[in-house]
Amino acid sequence: MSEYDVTVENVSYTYRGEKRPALKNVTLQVKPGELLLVTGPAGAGKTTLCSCLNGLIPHFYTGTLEGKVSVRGLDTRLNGPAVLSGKAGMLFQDPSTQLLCATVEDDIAFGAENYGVPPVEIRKRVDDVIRLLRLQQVSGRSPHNLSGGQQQAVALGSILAMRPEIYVLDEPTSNLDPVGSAQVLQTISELARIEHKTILIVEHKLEELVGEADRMIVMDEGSIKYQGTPQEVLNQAEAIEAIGLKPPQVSLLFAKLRDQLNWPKIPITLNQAITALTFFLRNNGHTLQNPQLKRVPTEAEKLPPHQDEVTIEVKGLTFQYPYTKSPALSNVDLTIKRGENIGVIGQNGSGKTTLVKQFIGLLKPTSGSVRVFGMDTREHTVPEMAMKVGFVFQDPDQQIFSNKVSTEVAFGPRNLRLPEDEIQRRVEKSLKDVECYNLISENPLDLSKGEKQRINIASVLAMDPELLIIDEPTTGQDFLRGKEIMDLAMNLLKKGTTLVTISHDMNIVAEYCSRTLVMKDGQIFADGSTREIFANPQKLVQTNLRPPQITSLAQALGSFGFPNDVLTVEEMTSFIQSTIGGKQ
Amino acid sequence: MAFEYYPGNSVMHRLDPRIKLLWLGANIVLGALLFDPILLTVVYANVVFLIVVSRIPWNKMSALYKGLVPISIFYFLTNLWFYVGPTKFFSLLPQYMLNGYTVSLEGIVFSLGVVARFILMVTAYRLLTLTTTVSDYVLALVKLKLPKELGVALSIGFSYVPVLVTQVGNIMDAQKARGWVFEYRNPLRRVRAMLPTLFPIIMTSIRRGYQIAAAIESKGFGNIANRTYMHELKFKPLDYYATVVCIAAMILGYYIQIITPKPGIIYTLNILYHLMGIKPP
Repeated sequence: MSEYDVTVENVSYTYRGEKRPALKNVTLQVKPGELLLVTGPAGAGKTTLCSCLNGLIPHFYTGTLEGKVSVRGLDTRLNGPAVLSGKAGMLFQDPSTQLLCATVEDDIAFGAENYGVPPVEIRKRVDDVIRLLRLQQVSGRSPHNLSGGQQQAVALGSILAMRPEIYVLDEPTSNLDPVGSAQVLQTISELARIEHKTILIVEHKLEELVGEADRMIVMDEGSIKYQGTPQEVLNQAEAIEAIGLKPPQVSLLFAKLRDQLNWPKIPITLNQAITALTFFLRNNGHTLQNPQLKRVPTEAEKLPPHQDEVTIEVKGLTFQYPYTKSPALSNVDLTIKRGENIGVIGQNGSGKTTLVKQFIGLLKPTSGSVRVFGMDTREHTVPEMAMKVGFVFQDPDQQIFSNKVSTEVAFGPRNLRLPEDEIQRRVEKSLKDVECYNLISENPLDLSKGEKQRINIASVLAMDPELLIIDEPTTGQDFLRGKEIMDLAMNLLKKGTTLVTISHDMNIVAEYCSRTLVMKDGQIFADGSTREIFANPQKLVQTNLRPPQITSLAQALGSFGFPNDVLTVEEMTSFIQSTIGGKQ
Repeated sequence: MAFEYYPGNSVMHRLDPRIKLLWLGANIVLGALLFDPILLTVVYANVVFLIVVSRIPWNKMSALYKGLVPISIFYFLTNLWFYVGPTKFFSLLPQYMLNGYTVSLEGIVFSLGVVARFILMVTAYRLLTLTTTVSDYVLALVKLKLPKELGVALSIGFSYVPVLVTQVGNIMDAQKARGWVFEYRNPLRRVRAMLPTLFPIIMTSIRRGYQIAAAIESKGFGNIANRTYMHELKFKPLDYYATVVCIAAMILGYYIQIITPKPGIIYTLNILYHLMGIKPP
């Protein structure tokens, strides 16, 4: 038996039917009890690496595997997933494809049942897991009717009940709001610390995990680009940002100020950064003087001011889904003007999507009214509303149906019964806008997920919407792609389009939205400029949200004169530079 | 709807799923053996009693019955002329066509019986599904020596129905938001209008199928030969009583069927003859 729980020796893997390898010469060892954080942009090979560890590769996904993977001494070529999954339990990204049974209890028991655990023992394990994950209230319910956070907890629970020695967790929080993901990540780190389990976790949310991980690797294009302790890896915070990841904002700040601060160790957590900066500023006698305050405008603030014309007018809106006991939206009043740029934030189930679906009439008010461009949504069909309102859904696979990109993009304009030459003009223009004109005669099925997402956006842009709604630009994607989508949207705003964006990513909202709505329990809990909203963390906490890390850092350093509404790393960098500069 | 479960802890809920299947079988057998509306009403009253005991809200049943009205009327009318008794009321057609479509007292009672057994069977089936979880059916099937793979596949299939419904809803929303019109009066155009959703539905379902398969593999499904079950089916005293009652009811039904002259509607007829002052033929 080797001293490592997992050894990956010079592994390359190509999926059947693909030309490019998904993994290229990957070598990796994981020690027992280690928490290894794996990160990298979409398509970097992270999920492929996970699938190698429990034998899905090469037994379930056939393809060409080179090199050797062994898990607790077992060669994965010789042992299939049935054996290996008992050693290395794997949790996938999307909980809804892993919940297999009619009740939460049955689901948690499923894996243990397959391993022939005696029924009395299964019962005990299920009860333990339910208690650990705080699922007592829902244990008899169908897992498919739970919130995203609870679903992910159940999926994790069914792995826990199998009692593997190694946990392989593939983006366990990608569909979760900040609180849901914090809960899941906390459970995972408890597991590592208390039960001394070996954990390999793929995650984009670095801020929450780098403090817990023993080691991290950064993958890109199928191979490992950086590896070491989080501290060592994050010393290259800027390089990591450049490949499309989101390193902790505090690390980025220190990396940008490397020369001025001359700080020996780049902080990786908020607390480390607060301690470091407090020490630095106090020792050098720096404070930030108000006259020196030079705001760095966010992307949203660089845009021209909105107009006075009303785009959306919501009055006393209450909405209840059929067969439910309580309303999903109650008594919402809201006015949005032309050219406004709105971010909508809130927990899963707080009513964000339910609210924005009202703007295009996919849902109609139970009482109250919604008027968009003067049209009462109850008196107009969705196709009528779609002439002015564009809605970008999360999953491009849920709408792409043509075998040619140009037909796909032309679908919307054709439904609007535009003349054929106008349709052609719009297709070309919108594809150019999303930088995909070269794909015009491709089959959308052959494209990468990122390209599909762009085609998806182009097909909405081709309808020339005056109001654009984006439901989560970043889920299941890396940060860079979310930013690209938002950059595109900024161009539209310059032309007077109104934008409403739903996001769990506070950094995206801080950078790209000028006004923010905070939803809670089907009501608008707070509504104001993005700076005002994030300047008030006490209020945000009531909805279980947190401002961006950099905002929290500035707030913690309030006694040195930092304002409480810093939104971006650039702004904080400029403030610290002027503090230091002001003294010298 | 077809497999809707209504949680509870009643006798019906607690009964072993195998015995529940036996109970449903008993109701079907009784429905098949008995023709007399009064006897069927007695059996039906038993089922209703169990519905009440199970605390199933009445709207769960009434929705079903509303759907049954047209079928029941159809059954009633088509069976009306099928049996022509001595107490004839009128004929709608010449004798050589469809027996003359002669309506008789005996024919009415016979048709009522046909409708009653239909309603009895459907009601019993509905009560069974409302009080039984899908995993219970699967356990029962596995205990009845069905392959375990099939059992698990069935269980997963059923628990995915609501997920697929949501997914189809999302896909339709996405196309509507691009200006696509679904609501046509003409059924042909309606079907055609579904086409732009068909491809994404198939594609996402295939992808989901793959993901589910990977997830199942990753939970050790390959070890199925030694599989255990958290909930084990064990006969409780209640189950033995219920078995005896069900079998006894079937034997009694068989006995009644034997001793009753054809077409087996004599009990209701005798009451009606008495009430109407008609001398039994």
